[in-house]
Amino acid sequence: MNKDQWIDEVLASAKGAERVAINPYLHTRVKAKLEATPATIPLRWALVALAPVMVLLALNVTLWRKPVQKKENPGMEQVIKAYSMDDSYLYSSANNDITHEKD
Amino acid sequence: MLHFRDDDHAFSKFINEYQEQVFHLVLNMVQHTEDAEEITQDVFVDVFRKPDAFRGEAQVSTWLYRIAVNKSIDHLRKKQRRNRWMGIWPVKEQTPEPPDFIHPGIIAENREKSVYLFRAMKQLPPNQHAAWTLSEIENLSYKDIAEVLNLSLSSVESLLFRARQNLRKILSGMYPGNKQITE
Repeated sequence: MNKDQWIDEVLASAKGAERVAINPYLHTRVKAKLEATPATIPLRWALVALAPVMVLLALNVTLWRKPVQKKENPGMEQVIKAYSMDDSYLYSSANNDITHEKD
Repeated sequence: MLHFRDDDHAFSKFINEYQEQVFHLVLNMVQHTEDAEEITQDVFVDVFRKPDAFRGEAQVSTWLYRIAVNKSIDHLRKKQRRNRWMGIWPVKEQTPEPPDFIHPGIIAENREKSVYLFRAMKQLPPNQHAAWTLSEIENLSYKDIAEVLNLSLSSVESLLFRARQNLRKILSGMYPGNKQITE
């Protein structure tokens, strides 16, 4: 038999292979497997769920580390002046003189 | 359509109807009875857990073939990766080379030759391996193979052409007459 003929015969050797009987308790085994291994979430979906949490966390850290700038509030200052709520005079030098005079 | 959560009897019937078809395909792909049984179980576990994956566009058998082929290809790739790592870091106690696969469903006069065929099939890339198995052993039409592998008809044709060419090349190196010529 020459090589080509042999190869052709080998290539055709599995044609018409009969189906092999499988373990008759396959159903029981499948059920056992279903009970033994809980359904797992695919990694891709876990990453999808994790992504927004990571973004929020990163945003939090960035904002937390940024120095807070004190805002000027001219409205509030005007109110303080109008009602003479400014107590800075207590610590002024003029006020100190008054207390000395009393002594 | 294929919800078996509340109907154990229907699930058992479904398994009985399709188990041989799935097992036969997987066995031809992985060439190892225990592994084929394990993968067949996994196919039905998937059917039970993801019934909505079947949208009724194809036949149930085609859908099952698709799951089985994907799982078998995954298994073959894992095995190839493992063998590659073993090549880089050889362990002291190497597992012995598995014996040649003898398909129990092949008639006796073809068994000896089929051993060469299955040995050569192992060396094919997984997608060529799958296409060849579906066409030459499972006798599926090109149209069905295209549906199972999610490919166009022309892609299936070229895949099978390349598989045949590669098998011829591999088998040419295995020809028993080669030994006689060299001796």
